[in-house]
Amino acid sequence: MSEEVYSLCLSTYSTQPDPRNIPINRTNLADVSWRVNYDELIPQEKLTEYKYCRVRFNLSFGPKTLVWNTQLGYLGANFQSDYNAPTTCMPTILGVLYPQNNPTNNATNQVITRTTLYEIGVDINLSSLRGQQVLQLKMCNDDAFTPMSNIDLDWEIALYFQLYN
Amino acid sequence: MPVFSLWLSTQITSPASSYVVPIDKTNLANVAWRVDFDNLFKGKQNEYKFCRVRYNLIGETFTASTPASTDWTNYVGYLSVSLPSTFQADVTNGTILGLTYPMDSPITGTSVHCMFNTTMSDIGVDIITPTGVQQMNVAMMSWITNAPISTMQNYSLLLAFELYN
Repeated sequence: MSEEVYSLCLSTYSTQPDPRNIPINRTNLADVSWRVNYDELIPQEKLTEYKYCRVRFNLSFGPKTLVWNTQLGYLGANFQSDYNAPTTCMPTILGVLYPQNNPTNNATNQVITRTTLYEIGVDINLSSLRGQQVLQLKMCNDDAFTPMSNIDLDWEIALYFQLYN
Repeated sequence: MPVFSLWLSTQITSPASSYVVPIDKTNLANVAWRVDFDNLFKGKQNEYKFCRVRYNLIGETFTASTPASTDWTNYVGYLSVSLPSTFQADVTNGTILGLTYPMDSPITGTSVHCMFNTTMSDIGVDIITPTGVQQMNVAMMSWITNAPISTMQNYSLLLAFELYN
């Protein structure tokens, strides 16, 4: 299978923003937006060379006190996707989120470290990855409607765009 | 080989989108949804011969029994879906998508459990590509009784349908 992978690392920290990936709204850390220039990330000829785009992510957040049933949900994105049943919360669901104990501090506080790199991933519309756009990432509750509460720590995420035919 | 994904959660109390409508969640171990597969696949199902399904399941917590060691036996089972398959040995309760099992909650130790399993990195199972609007039942079945597990909590399920030739 012919394929290429393009990656994008984003952080909610705004003190030293990468000029290419500037967080533009981090008032609610469960709902953060960045301005992303896809023309710089993906050569535009690739949008016709390949038919499909699969997205996976690697996320790290915490530590703080989290509650399993409260911070159980999914990571949503505003990617255009004809391959995803959209919810009221967000148009594309990138994967499941859940808390776990802090690996360096055991049960006194929790983190969300989640990777879908070994999962099948989700497909989005490759043709929509053009120009400068606002990328919105939202941590949503499992009821599919509301953003998670109590997400008041910064986080980082690596997104991987696998172009394939 | 596009992948179409579908978020199901027993926490959804009203239609989260035009694709998925919860019909009956009286018994959380056997929940019915109305799914618009034509709307989900948008005609792509006509380009591919086969459909492979994987899932990511995560449930809310429940209190451990006394003794807690009995919970493993009582909650181990399999995830069954009412979508037909001609690629699987016939069983009486739909198509078996994979195993399910309980584990200690990753953030609260041994006194509470949750259901968890993912087949997102597994090979998955093939089903007949679903079409139209239909009722889809998803059941968590006991490996002992082949009946829905009796005391199930709310859960979320990310289904991934991979179409391929």
